[in-house]
Amino acid sequence: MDAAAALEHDAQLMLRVKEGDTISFELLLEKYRASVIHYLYRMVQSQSVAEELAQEVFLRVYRSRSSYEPAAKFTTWLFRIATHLALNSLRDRRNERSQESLDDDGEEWPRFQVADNRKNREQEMIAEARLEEVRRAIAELPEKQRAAVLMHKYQDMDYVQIAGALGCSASAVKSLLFRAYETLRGRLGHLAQSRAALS
Amino acid sequence: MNCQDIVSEIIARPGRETSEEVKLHLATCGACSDVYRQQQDLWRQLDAWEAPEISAGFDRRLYARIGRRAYSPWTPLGGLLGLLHPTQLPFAAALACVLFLATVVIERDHHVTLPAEAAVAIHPVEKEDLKQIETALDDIQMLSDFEALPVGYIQSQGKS
Repeated sequence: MDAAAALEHDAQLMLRVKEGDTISFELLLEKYRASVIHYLYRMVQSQSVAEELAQEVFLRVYRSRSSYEPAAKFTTWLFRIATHLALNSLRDRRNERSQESLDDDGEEWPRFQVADNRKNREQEMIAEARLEEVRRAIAELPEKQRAAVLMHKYQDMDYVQIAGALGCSASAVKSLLFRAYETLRGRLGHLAQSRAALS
Repeated sequence: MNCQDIVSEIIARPGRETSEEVKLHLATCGACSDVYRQQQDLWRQLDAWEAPEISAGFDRRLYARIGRRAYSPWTPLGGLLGLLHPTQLPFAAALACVLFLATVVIERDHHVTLPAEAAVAIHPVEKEDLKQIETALDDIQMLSDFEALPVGYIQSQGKS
């Protein structure tokens, strides 16, 4: 299915929701539930907060059904709502938890399992440490750069769609991504070097 | 294409095949080749970051919230109605009507008896007040007449 057909299909589903068809809403939820939650999880780096925000996203989609017009691609509209809520949440949490370090959020992140095999355990610990660095590097990006990278890398959205979600121009998105990836390459470059040295 | 365009091309397509033009440039430009390699490493590192499983009750919680949002939860009445099942709403409306009518009837009866009770209670108080005022005025008049008499007349009256 190409992009135009996908636009048509999602927009049609949303227009049916507008007419009171709840099955179409269930289809949209089924299709985008994981994408929205995973995006929000990587934005706020907390599973419980991500799910709470995702609830609000779909609630807003449902509540806006009567005024919905297929002016933009459905995913652009959806991720615009998600980004708006994520940025608000990050600002609220920054105010509340400015003194806490990211280490305190460890409960939200997947734990590595203790394996019987010492070598496997070491590998898991190394992998976990690498992931920790990746998460930190993403978390330390400015908010818009972070949102742009997550939509670009994990949601496979193009510059125009990201621009629609962030409320800026496509050239601004290009610039945001250029700077963000440059920063990430600088911060995480040593991981690739250490991996190469180990192998 | 210059080096900046090449880097933009490399970044623009995560995990996708690079164009022939970019490949040709990378073969001759060490700086862009380094950026390309670092970007591929970065994407591999980002790929390793998986999101956890979605909790089982996500949809159920969402539909419960959608159901509740049919009424505004920000008002006490809306919150109360949100707790009711839709089939219970007609009964709640009927109960509200009965309570309203009962209140109207009680209020009307109360208004009928109130004037009679009030007349009995308020009228004697008013009569009593008027009597006291008349007495007080008489006393003042008598005292002013008494003060107007000569001192000698009062003393002679006192001796007799």
